Amino acid sequence: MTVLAHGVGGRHDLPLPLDLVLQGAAVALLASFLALGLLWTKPRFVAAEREGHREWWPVQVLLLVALPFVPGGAWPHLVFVLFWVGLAVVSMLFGPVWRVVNPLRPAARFSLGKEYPARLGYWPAAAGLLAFTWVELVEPGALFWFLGGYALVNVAGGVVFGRAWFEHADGFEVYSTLLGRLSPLRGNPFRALVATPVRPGLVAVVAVCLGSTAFDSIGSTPTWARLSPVPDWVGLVATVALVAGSYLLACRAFGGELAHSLIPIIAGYVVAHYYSLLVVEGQRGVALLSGVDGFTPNDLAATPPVVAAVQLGAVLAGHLLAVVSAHDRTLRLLPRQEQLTGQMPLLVLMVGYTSGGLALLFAG
Amino acid sequence: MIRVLLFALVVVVVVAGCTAAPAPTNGPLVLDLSVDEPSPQREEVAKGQSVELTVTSSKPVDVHVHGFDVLAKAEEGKPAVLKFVADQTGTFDVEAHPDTLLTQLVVR
Repeated sequence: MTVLAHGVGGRHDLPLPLDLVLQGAAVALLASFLALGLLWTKPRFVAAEREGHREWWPVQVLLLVALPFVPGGAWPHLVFVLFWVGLAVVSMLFGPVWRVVNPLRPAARFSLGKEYPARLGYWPAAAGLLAFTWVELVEPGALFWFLGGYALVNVAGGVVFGRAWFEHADGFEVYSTLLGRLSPLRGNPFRALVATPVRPGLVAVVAVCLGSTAFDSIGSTPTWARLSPVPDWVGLVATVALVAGSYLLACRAFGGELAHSLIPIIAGYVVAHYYSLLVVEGQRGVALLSGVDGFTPNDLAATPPVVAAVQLGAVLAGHLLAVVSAHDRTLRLLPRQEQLTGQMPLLVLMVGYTSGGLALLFAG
Repeated sequence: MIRVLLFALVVVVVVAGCTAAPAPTNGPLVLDLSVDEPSPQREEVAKGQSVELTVTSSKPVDVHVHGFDVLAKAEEGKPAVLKFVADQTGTFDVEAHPDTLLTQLVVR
């Protein structure tokens, strides 16, 4: 038995060609500063929270009943490919799906109804996501321990605090709900983004999501392997800390108020980084789930030109949405005379994240 | 005006992406690798080129080329020799198990 990257095999994309990286970074830089000068000067997007709560409890119960029948060998593909990447993509398209189908959510129906402590905010979700990405990127062998712990903590939380627990503290639901704000099928994504509730730990969640995906790129380069004595978990934590630190430095007091504008950047980078994994290993995941071993996936949808186009397109689209979203929000936050200078640090940071993301798709 | 400019930039990017010329196929890529002192680098391989890896190790170890599923054992005084044709594109790790990266092959 071998330990594989992601627990699902060592598939890497070809490095993005350097000329594409440079041109992509140039487009991001140019478009950002054009946007700064040319976009509207009065805030345009009124926060609009999307219609409230929907759960399909029959689906939740069905999933719960189906889980014991998943073949043992299919779990890594189920969790790391179909669930983790699939959930992100489906949420971006259709909205917060994990809330709708989470098989643990029925626990909230037997709730003691205690009030969820507001000061905890999203911190438990950030911790849960960091733990999951540690399992994904550093210690795939701990998957079953993680899943057991996750189930235990969330059933207990759901029973004690009810639905509020899942909304604030379940990392996957928070992730799915944040990305779900981008869904074009449920109203204007910009209005949904600006309606993101600012709670303690929001910046931490965003930093874990962006930092962990970035470290997945860093950790698979030969350069990182040459730094061998540095353990992977240190790299993961350092990358997350770097994202959080640089963001807070750029936004200062407005860190929470602007955090929603990083969601499109996260989404763009997740698509760029995991596209080929989803379309190729996703097939194997479905085969394993239906009990077929030794299936050879078709990689027509992941030929090098297609992958490069998807990567560049996703990163740039995410960047542009982020810039527009941040611009509109700063108009509301800052007094008139500071509006132009005030949004510069975040704009520069976003160009940095985007160029850095493109560079990581190239780095060796 | 701005739309035209942005559109032009996108066109430039796409065209530049489609014009990279494929590298010609040469003789085999020959690499000597060490498990005891790994110094992984990226190695460019042309699709269809043959690859010959010689891996030395002071203790018994399995060496594996991901993607091509070529496997060999190396031990003290008996290096592992792996020969295969790089017939698919992608980036592939050459690893000594469990997780010592020896080199990374970029096949295009």
